[in-house]
Amino acid sequence: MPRFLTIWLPRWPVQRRLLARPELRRVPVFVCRRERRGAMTVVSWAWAEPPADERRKRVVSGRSGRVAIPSGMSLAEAMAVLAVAHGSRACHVAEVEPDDPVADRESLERLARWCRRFSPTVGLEEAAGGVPECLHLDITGTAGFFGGEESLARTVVWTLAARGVHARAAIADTPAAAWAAVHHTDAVAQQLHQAAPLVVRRAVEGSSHGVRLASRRHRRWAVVPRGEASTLLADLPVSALRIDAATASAIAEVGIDTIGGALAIPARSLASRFPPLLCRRLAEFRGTVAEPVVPPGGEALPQESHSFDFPVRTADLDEQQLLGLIEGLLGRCLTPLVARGEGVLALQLRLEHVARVAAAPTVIDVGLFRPTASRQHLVELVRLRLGRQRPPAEIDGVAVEVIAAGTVACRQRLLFGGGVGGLESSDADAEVAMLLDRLAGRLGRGAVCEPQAVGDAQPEHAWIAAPPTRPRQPAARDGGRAPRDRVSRSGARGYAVPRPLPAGRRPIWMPPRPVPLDGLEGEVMAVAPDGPPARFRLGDVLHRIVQAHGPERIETAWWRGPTVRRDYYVVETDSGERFWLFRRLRDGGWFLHGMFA
Amino acid sequence: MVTFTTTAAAGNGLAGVPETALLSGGDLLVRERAKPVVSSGFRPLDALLPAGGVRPGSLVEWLAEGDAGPGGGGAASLAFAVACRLAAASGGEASEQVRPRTIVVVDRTGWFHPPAVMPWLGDERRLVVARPSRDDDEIWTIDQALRCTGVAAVLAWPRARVGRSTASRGSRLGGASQQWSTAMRRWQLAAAGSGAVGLFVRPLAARAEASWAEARIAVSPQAGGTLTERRLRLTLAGGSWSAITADGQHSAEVTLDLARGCAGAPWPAAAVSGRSGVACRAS
Repeated sequence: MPRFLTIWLPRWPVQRRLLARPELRRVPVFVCRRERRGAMTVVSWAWAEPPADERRKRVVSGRSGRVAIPSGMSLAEAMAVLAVAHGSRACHVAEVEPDDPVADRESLERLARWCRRFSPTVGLEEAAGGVPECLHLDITGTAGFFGGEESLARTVVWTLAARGVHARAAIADTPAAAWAAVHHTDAVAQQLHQAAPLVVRRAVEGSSHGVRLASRRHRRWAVVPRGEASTLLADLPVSALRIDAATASAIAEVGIDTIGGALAIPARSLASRFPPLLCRRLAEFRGTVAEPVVPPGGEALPQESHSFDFPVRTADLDEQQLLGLIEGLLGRCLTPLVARGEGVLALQLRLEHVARVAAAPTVIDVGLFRPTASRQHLVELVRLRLGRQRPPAEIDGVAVEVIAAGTVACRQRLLFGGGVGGLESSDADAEVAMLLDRLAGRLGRGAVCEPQAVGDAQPEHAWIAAPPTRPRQPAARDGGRAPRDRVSRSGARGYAVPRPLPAGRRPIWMPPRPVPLDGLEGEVMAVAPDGPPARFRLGDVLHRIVQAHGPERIETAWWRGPTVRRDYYVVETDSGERFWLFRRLRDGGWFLHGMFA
Repeated sequence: MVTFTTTAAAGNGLAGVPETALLSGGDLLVRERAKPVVSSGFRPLDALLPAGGVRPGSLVEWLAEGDAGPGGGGAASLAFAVACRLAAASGGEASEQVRPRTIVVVDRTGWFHPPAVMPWLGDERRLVVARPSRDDDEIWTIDQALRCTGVAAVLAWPRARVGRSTASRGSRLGGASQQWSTAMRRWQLAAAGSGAVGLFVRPLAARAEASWAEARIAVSPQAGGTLTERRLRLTLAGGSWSAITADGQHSAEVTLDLARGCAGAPWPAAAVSGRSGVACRAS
């Protein structure tokens, strides 16, 4: 009997944008479509990481925190709903992105090609309108390679999660049944739990695993046993059959609101009363009509491997020999990519172990900020990662797989050179891109960033460490004026509202957290209770203040928790050093928050 | 933007000395002096530097008062202002199409606050911050950044320490000076190959250590100035060419405009004449 795995990527248009711009995870994101008369309707929306106080409020109040903003709601209505649920500040920081269904579909097709590691047959769901959010995989006979169906579903979910993709998975006899199950994994898990024998159920509930299962609010995967789809999914709503809203409401008028109810009615009777789509979906659900899984077009990403005739001890293997082997594999992977004008954006190196049953292969993931077709550069990145990882004692094979590819920007060299020293600006950019890849390869992607101002009044949150992924734009030659800050604001176009930084009033050195100047760490003495400080002690050094500029009052961040209310002073000591101190207005406590180093 | 080329024995203490005499002392000095230099953006500082400016492919140390890190003395701000100048100069004046090169900040401490200097950059995306977590990673990061031809300047504060908890590490690190001396030599060779400039902010206590920097500038803050202006006294404290200083000067005063990251108004004459030691009037 065939088996199908369906992967659901909820709110894919938003997820795609969050993958490209991780900084958007902290704000509500709306993907909107512009209608004919200029109105904006919401296609999808999400708020991946609401502030901590929002999560705390949900826990205290017991609310789920979910905001009901269906697709098709106007943006104005959606903002009103969001303001009621999270306050008006959430609307102010919300990001509005224009809808781009073509790019959404292309990215989903890329993901489908990546999923060929789980099954040779991967296809996108048939979406009547809008962007598909599901992938169908024909896993007939392949689940055993992953330790069974349950293990395969779990592997799919967590592998995608490691790439930053939120996904759910379900396995059933037909794609239609798997689609229904994946959209109601909680209900399916509950049904499976109740259907289990009583002895097994009590054992699970009594164990710590059972407690963990009970406390888990959402299941991310479900496996419908063979031949039990009709009974196990009978209680799911008819909307799980992928029918449009009009058909669902029509069938609800006659009192049929579950899949089981629809299955109980003869097909001939349904065909005379309802649109043919319903009968077709039911036939696909039963498996009497085959639903083809059509792989997306485009070339698959290359992968190459090499197996040794016998296990090789890594201690006997010279690094140059191993790198030479990897370079050869990389060259074979690059050949088809270069022919398409593409380069490697991410690759995976696997060192296959001898004890392949007991131990997983050693996996080294190499990510780049920009696509490259340079074999030497890729080998260098692999070498950096290999040097920081303990290799297995013995290996019996090496595999290289391209995880992601991108178009390599073509550039034409100047005939007579350019720039300083004959170095073109594009050359300089390429050199910097390679440097960033090397740094990220050794230090980690989180340790290399391009600072980006976000216009938050609270100094700790005034900038974010953005990954240097976007292509560089030509410098704005504005005659030396200070660049404008970027602030996320609501708006139909999602344009930023500039807010100038207080130039020259921020220290170049700032501790991650303000240092309290009381007790052993320090002490502040002020002449007037609300006046500037006269002297302060930092550690063992007493500083006498000869000049204090301020106060600069900052009151903000009420939406993040307790309101931040501070009076900042730029103080200059008798030795000429400058520090940034503030008094917390709530309790009068003094803190050191920076040094004009 | 001032970019000019010095010639041998021009504008320095060796004026009038024939080049043949220098050649007898070594070809290297003559060859090095013939290389172009870039103005730091501060005329007093240019006069203080041995080559009459910052030479691409060299290292410059900024010695700040205090025993842990940059402190509040303004050395890091001045170094970053010079880095901005180098980045803008490396873009070239003639061609509008050529973009400025990148500034890499190697911030082991995690205390670097970019919004303070973002207004100084015409394009904030020229700035890259790397945060290594170990000593060897820090050395390697600086080395890699200095080898990159697309980088104009690398700003770092090697071995900087923050907080009281690490205050006792100084004595233990004393034995590691040889390692850092070796690292500096590597950095010097890396910079010479690419043309990038290494700007290192170090505590004044590091003055006793060996260095491969072309110039070591001690930065001491001076009281006075407005909120957005900083007055700094610079003293030449060594370096490869410490014996040959431009115009025989050993100290100078500069005013740093914190809002724009460039030279501010010159010091008032009273402030200059009232100080002891050799002073250079900012012009």
